[in-house]
Amino acid sequence: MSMSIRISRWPVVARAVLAGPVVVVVSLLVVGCMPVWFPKGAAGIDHIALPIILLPGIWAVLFFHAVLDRSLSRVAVVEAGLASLSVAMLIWKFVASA
Amino acid sequence: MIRLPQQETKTLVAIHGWAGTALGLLLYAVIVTGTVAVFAQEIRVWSSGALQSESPLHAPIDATLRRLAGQTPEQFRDDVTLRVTTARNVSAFFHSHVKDEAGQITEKGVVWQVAPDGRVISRRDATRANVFAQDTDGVLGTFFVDLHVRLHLPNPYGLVLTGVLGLAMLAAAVSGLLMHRHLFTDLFTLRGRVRMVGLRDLHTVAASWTLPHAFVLAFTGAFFSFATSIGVPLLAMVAFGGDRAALVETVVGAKEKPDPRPADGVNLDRVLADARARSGGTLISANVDHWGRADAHITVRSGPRDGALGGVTLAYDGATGAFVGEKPSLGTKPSLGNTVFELMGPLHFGNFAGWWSKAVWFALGFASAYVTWSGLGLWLRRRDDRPAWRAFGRVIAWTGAGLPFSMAVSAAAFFLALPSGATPWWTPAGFLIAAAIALLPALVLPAERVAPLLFGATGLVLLALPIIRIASGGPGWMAAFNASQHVIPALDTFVVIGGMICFVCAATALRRTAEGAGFAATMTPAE
Repeated sequence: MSMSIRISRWPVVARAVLAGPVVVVVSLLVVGCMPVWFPKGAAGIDHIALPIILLPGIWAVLFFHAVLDRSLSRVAVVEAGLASLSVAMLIWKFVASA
Repeated sequence: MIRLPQQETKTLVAIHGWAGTALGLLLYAVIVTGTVAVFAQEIRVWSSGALQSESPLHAPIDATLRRLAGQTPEQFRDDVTLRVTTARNVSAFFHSHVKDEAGQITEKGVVWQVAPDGRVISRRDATRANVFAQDTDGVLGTFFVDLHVRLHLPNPYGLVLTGVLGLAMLAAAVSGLLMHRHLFTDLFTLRGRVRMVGLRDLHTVAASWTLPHAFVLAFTGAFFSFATSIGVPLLAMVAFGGDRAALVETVVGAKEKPDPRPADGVNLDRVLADARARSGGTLISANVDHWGRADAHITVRSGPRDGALGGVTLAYDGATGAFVGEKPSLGTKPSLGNTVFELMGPLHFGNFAGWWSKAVWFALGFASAYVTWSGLGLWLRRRDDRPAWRAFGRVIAWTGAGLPFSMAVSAAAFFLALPSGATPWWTPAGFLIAAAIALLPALVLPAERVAPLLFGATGLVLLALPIIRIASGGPGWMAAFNASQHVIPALDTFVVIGGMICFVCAATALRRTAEGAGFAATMTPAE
């Protein structure tokens, strides 16, 4: 009985983790790496200003995807993919500037 | 009409409920204080009793500044910042940039408070952190704003918390929109006074009308909270390798080649007059970098002119007084990032069309506060068979009705302390004492009587506020009208109307509670 409850609850727990702390971390990573690829604009500040402004929107999109997509594995793949891409860009940025 | 599959709708209902419940009380506090803070500037004027509506920066100040510079130690004469205080004096902060104990660059110097006629009111040694401590007249407005912005928690924790609350509000607003089956019908559906149905309908109608506003406030509020607490340090690290000076140079503009030769400098009155003519708005601050040097640089900030969304910052050569150009808020020339950034303030503060837009923002904020509180009530009503949730119902009644009561008492404490200048201490003390007093009925009385009692008490305090204000030395209506300071009688009237509404709400809630149904359900927790 307890085993079946544990089994039936783990997708809920996994989704809560993916939609909660993981989405927050991925959002910060996506915003954090935006200055690497986002156009600087006429005044050279767009790549700093717009990511901060977009942060709540990026979080909202990732959050609602994490809670509404029926496939947990797809949610995990999207979040892992975005996080990996962002980390790779940050590493490239710091290695290139070193 | 939005039709989602049943499973997704169920998920959205859960998100909507938990987003509102887990953080609902804090969210309610932020919304209520934010609603009041829409009129923060007017509250500052009203509470200080300042009769002068004209900016003191419109009067001659150059000769006074030169006199004060001569009385300021030379090591603090690098820059001077001029601001208009709540009492409509000029705060002149002569300062230099020094390293503090933590190794951070900060501003340190002497701040003078000067009356519009050039009379020195006070002189104080100050740093950037405490330069505004002198403005005891503006404490009430600042207290409400700080409560809204960071719940009086230290930085960056308060900002991060209110940012999280903004995200929770965003989640509640979007889930609320998506789970609507009949969005347009829900705007008008009120099906009578049956306790549960009546409360749900009122919640849904209020939420439907405030949905776009709630979305905008949640988005812009989360931006403002996270921008300085997380966003800027994070992006400074990525874009500039942690070099904050490089970030500041990009945002503010590169410093010109230093030229430390002494120079008499331009007459500041001429620059301020030119800035006033160019901006078309009220001057609110001015800054002189490199005072008394050949490379002096002046920036003047104005409020919005009629019909404009925001004010402007104008730059001048400090040695010749030549107009250099209009400076965007971010960067040194117009850009998409700056345009979007400059939209965030008016959208959040509702000050884009003067009193009219502020009134609309206030009304929608009030409705959003009701939505948050009634949402908590709905959540509890479905769980009122559990003792823990019933106890939480008392906390909701205390917070929901105790917060407006405490804010009203803090205003009364401010007025009583104004003559002695002890407003920085008594304003928060009055708030905390009132919150403690409000806890007593929440612990002792039947829960359904707590909110009506506290609303009645709030009404009493609000009705007394104009009398306390005048008895504490504030100007009367005739003096305010003669000085064309219409904010004072307008806010007095507003406060009295608020007091009467509180009385009506309290009486209606008690009557409906006696009937056991209807409107009382919107005012009381489940029990």
